[in-house]
Amino acid sequence: MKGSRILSLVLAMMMIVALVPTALAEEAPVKISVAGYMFGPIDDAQDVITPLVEQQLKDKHGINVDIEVVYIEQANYAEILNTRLAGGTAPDVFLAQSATTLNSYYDQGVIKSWDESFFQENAPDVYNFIMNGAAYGDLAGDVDAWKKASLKDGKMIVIPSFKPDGSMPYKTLIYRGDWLDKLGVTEEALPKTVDDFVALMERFTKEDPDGNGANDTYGCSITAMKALFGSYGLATGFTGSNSYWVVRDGKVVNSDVAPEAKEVISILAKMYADGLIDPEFVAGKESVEGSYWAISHGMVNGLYGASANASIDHYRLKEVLGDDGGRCAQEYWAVNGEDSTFVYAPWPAGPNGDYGWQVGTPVAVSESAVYNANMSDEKLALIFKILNAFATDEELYMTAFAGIEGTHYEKQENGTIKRLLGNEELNAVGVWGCRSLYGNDRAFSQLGYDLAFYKDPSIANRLNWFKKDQYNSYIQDAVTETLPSNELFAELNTIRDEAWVAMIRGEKSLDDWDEFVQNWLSAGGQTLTDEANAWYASNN
Amino acid sequence: MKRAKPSFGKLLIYLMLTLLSATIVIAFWHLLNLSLSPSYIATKGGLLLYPKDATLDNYARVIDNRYIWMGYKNTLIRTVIGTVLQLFFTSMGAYVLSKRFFPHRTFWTLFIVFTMFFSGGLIPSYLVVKNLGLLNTYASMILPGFISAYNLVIMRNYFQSLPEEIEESCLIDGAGRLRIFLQFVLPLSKPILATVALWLVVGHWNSWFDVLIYISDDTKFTLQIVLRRIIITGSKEILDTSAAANAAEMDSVVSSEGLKAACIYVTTLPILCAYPFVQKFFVKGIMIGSLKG
Repeated sequence: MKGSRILSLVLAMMMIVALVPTALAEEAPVKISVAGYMFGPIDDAQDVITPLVEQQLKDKHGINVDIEVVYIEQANYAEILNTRLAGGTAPDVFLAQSATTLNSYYDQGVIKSWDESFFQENAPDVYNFIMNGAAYGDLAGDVDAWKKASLKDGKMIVIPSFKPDGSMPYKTLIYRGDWLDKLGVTEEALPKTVDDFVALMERFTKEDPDGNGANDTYGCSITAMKALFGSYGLATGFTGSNSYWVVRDGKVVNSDVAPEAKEVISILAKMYADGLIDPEFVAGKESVEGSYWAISHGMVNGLYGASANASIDHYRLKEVLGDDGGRCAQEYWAVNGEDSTFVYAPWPAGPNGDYGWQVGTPVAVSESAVYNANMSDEKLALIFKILNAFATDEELYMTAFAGIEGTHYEKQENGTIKRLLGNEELNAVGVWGCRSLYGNDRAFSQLGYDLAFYKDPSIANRLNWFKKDQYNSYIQDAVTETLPSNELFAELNTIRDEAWVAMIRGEKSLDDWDEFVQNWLSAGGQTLTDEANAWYASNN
Repeated sequence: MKRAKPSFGKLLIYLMLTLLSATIVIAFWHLLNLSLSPSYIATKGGLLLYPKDATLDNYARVIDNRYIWMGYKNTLIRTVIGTVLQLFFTSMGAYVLSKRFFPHRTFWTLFIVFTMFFSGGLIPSYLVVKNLGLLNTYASMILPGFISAYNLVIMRNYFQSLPEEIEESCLIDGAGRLRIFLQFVLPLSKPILATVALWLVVGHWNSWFDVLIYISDDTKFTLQIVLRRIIITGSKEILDTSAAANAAEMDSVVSSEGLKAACIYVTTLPILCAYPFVQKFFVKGIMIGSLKG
């Protein structure tokens, strides 16, 4: 009958119509919004990389996503992110930027947590890579630290970055080559103890190493003086705005009031009394406002013989990268002549064999991605699968990290890449946009680590130097979290600087040390010490 | 006929005004020279009386930024549209409040003045803008601060000082309230309109924080945001403590004073140029609020 034919036709159409949405729903890509560290905003009209990444994820890995790169100004990152978190418009993936912020996000319940097994299940290659000590197993000794940093109340809240250069010293002691030659000091004779170092400073001051007949040279600059703290196992923030902690007999003590600090100050005071230190050592003939911070003007211009203001990379020789050399090296050659030399030196060791400068650890959370708590577990699983895809798929990683070969980067013979556009330009076209999705700007893969670290000649150069005796550094800050009363440090550092400068200059005697310690403690130092010990006890 | 010699008092006043102007002009002049100098001159410090080694590098660096013209465009849109609309509605509100026969006039005035003392803060403002669906729009730059209570009160005082007789004669001739407002009151109020307009223009031109939190679309960033980014990107310094810096940051230059000066000029020059044309309105405008009735 006609009626039943129409009815069955209508029913059939209804079935098809009902099926279509479900069929389409299976096809719809999952939206993921990602915020990361960017130099400039992404230009949607010119973004070529994000579509490419989505395409590759879909075709090669069966992951169908629509990635939205969210730009948050780095300078006001926390403020903007907080307003968005409060308003519920925060992206799915964002950065915590410090351990303190990370903990506060967790306490407020705005970030997601998951089991270690969940992570292992969805990103197995990344998991294995980390557990095996990252590339070349170099960091096998730090895997436990990595685990510890990722966990909170037994669940993971972040995937910390695992950077081999995190524990490399960022400063090196450097001497003027011409002065060493004039005084006949060869590389083997470079001072390796504090006494030898002071003796060399005396020679720099008294024996006219620049040969101009005038008594116008000094041993070293303020940064080289600070290297002596390392010789007593301390890191120091003298003349700066930092303060460090050391562990003594199982308790945490601030290095500014540790008994070894008194020894160092007495050495410096003696150096000053002997005329080895520039009376204006604090005023800073090192960094000069307006010019590059790492250049030690005093040393470059022949006033001082030694400085520890910069790293080996800043004083990089031309052969390392085949370019004009490091920034400070260029300045040095510009002032002293193209053939002039400078020498990287070992740190002077103190009576207990300590030496060096403060270094960090290979584990950090300041660049690690965290995940919005209002995300479903399926979405988080998908994000981990994406993380895994970046770790296993070299082409995918290169697209997101470097762009299109020939347009955005070129491959170099040494295995690294050279970028062809400026940072802001690269961000505008989408490079680095998915950064937070592939793990802190280096995928947890051999390729990522090679490109960023092991194959980079300037870093390899530093690594080689650090293998030499007494060139590396091991001094670490015992407290790695910002303490609640952190603002008290401003005044404490002023007290420290004023007292120490007075003692070095001889305006105050070393006998006043205890008075200084009392001042320091009563101005808030005791509060901070107690907080530091509480933190240390709860974390160890 | 001999012109009378100026009195000693007048001479003193002229002298002080000259000194005051000189300090202001010298400051601007120094800044201009700084913006035309290369960075090593800037580090030496001191007052620059002429640009040594003049170079347009700083300006080139500012203007080469891909977002600078977009920034100008967005700032102009925001300033022009915002100022015109705000001026219009503020003056309407002020006119209403200035009429003595307006019912519950005291209550409404206090109601508005009360808002000058309190603000909800950052997060509530963000929530309001977000819930109105204004995030990422030009409206979020204009609407949140649309009527400033301060401007409203000042305009109200001015309207109160206009003689009522004019309006009464217009009413007798059959003009409606709106016509009176548009054709008689506003033309007589040029001083106060110019004053408030200038405040609004400067406010819009300089504002950056609202753009920072409400706008995420890079095509809507205003001039101040772009310039701010130029200066900040140029002055990233690596602290003593950070063990490992991003490789790209390691080579960033400390922004020279010259670059900052160039940014200041790029921002201020349009306003400096526009100011002389508006100045003739100010002679009368400054007196407002000080005369009663």
